[in-house]
Amino acid sequence: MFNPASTTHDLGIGRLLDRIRDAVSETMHALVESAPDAIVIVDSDGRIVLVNAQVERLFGYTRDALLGQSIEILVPERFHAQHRTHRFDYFMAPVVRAMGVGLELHGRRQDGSEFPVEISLSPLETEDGVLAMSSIRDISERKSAEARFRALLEAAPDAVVTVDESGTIVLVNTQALELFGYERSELVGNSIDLLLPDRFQNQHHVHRTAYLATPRRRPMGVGLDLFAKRKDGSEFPAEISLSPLETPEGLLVMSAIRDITDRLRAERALLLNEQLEARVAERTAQLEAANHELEAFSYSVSHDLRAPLRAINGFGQILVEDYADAFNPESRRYLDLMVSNATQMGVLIDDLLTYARLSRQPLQTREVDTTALVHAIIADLRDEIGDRAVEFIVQPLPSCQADILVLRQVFVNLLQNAVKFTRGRTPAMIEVAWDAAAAPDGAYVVRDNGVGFDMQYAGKLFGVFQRMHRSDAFEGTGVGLAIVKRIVTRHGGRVWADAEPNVGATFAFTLPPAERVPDADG
Amino acid sequence: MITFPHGSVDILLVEDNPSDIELTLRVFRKHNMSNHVGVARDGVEALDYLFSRGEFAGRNQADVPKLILLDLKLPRLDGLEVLRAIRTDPTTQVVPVVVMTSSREDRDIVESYNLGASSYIVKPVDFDQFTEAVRQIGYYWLLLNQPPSAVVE
Repeated sequence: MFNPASTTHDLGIGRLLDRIRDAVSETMHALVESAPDAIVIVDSDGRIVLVNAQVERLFGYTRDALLGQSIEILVPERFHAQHRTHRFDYFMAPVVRAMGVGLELHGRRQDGSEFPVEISLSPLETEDGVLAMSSIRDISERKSAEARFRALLEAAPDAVVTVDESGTIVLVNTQALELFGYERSELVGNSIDLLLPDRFQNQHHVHRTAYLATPRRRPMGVGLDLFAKRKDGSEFPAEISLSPLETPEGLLVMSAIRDITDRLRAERALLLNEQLEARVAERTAQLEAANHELEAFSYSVSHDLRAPLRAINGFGQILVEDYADAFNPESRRYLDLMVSNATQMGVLIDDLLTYARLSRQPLQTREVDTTALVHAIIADLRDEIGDRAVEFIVQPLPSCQADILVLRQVFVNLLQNAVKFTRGRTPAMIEVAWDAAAAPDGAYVVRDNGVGFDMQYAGKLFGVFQRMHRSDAFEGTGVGLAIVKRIVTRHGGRVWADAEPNVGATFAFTLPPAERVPDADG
Repeated sequence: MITFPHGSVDILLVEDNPSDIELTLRVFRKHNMSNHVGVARDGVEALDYLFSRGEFAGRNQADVPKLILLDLKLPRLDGLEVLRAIRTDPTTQVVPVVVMTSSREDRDIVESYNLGASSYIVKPVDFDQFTEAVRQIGYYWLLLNQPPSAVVE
C-alpha cells in the first residue's frame, strides 16, 4: 500500500497534479467537483490522479488517501486481475464508452463492503499522455429495484415475457420458461419470434410496430388471442395482455401469456351443449305441436264422425218402424246390415279414440292394489256374462305403481277377451295370477281355457285392427289388445301371449319396479 | 219441415245438423212431449230469439222456454258462448239448459258445467238409446222438474 506521504511519491504526484491543473481548466475542475456522479481520473498506469467529493462520499476515503493509489483500491480483490487487463486494453484504444456492459461491476468501500456500480469512461488527452476519466454510479438501489421487479414477475400467476422495442426478449419469469419449455438462457437476448409459429411472425411484426406507435395497457380478454409455439414445436392458443414500461434504457413491453386450450375446449363444449339444447327444445316444440294436432283431430273425429252414424242408425230404425209392411225378409236383412255396420263403425271410432287418447295422456302413477282392482272388474263383468258358467280364480297379486285408470283398461280388455273367447266352454275358467318366473321381475298373467289362437300369427296379435278370428265367429274391432300394449309400454313394461288352439290362451304383462316408471307425475 | 213458431215454445232446440233435428223432433212427437218446439239453427239465431233481437224483435222476452237443448258445435257462435250468454242474462239465467252433443271430451264437459249447464248428455249413436235419452230428458225437465216460479207467463 502506497503511503501518499512518501516524499518521492509526493514529488511525482505533485508534479502530475500541477500538470493536470494546467491541463484541466478551472471550469473543468469545477465541473468535475460538482458532478453528481463520482468521478475518478487515472493515468495510463492506473494511478488515481483526481477524485471528486462524490468519490469520497461513495467509497468512504478521503481524497488524500486515494490520490496516487492504484485504481484497484476501489475494486474488490477477486476482480483485480481482470480489471488490470481491461485497463491495458482500454488505453490501447481509448474511446468514450460504458464499461463492461453486461458485466456485474462492483466497487469496494474503505470498510471493505461492496456495492454494484455502473461505470462510463472517457479519454482525456494531455501533454503527458492519455488519462481516463471514469464516472462511477452506485446502482444498489436500481439493482434492488430490479430484484424486486424480478421477484414480482416470478410471483405472477401467468407467464410474463418482457421485450424491448426491437422485439428482443429481455426478461422472462419461471412460469414462461415452464409454459414454453425453454431455459432462461435460450430466451433472453433472442427475438420474440421464437415463441410464435412461423405463419404468424409477419403479422406479429406489424402488430408490434403499431403498438409501439401508441403503447398503452391492454388487458386480457380484449380479443388479443393468438397461437404460441413451444420449444418442441407444438402450438397452443394463447391469450395475452400488454403493458408498456418506460425505463431509462427505453420502452419495454411486458406481456402476460395464458394458455387457453382448456378454456376454449370448455367454451366449445358449452356451445355444443347450447346447440343441443336448442335442438331438443325445437324437437319438443315439434312434438307438442304434433300432439296438439292429434288432439284437435281426435276432437273433430269424436264429433263429426258420430253424427252421420247416428243418422244412418236412426233413419234405418225409423224406416222399419214406420214402413214395416214395405219390407220383405230380404230387404229387411239389407237394412239391418246397414244399421249394424253403422253401429260397428261407432264402436270402432270409440276404440280408436281411446287408443289415441292413451298415447298422449299423461300418466298419474301411484300404488295400486291390483287384487282389489281385478275383483272390482270381475264384479262388473258379471252383468255382461249373465247366466253363463264362468269361473274366475284370482290368486294373490302384488301391488304395483301405475295409473289406475289405464291399468284398469288393461285388465278389462284382457278379461273381456277371456270371457269372449271362452264362449262355448262349460265351465269357462279364467285365472288371474302372478308368475314370478315369467319375467326377471315377475309378471301378471290372465289365463283362460277358451279357443286360443294359432301361435304362428302371434306377431300380429297386438297390432291395431289385427284379429285372430273371423268376425262372424267372434265380434270385435281388433283394437283391444293394441290398447293393452300401448298402456303397458307407456308404463315401461312388456306384454306377450302364449296359446294353443282349442286349449286356451295366456296373456302376460310386466310393470317395472316403482323407481323405474317413466311418465310418472311428480 | 222445420218451422219456428211465433208464439211461445216449451222447448228451444239449438242444433245445426238436420238429421239430428229430425230425429229429435220425431222423438218428441212420438212421445207426445210437446207441440211447441222451436229450432234455432245456430247460436246467433238462438240468442236473437231469447233476447228478442233481429228477426225476433218485438217478441215478449219474458216468455222463456221451459227447456233449452243445446248442441255445442254450432256455426257462427258456438254452444259454449250461447250458454255463457244465457247464464249472464237475468231473464234466461234460470232456464234449464241441457247440453246435448256428440263430444265426450273432458274439457267440453268441464267447461259446460262451469258455465252453468244443468245437465250434459252425449248423444248416443244407437237410435234406440238416442230415443230413450231424449224421452227421459223431456219427461224429466218438462214433467217431473219444477220450473222456476220467477218466470212470468
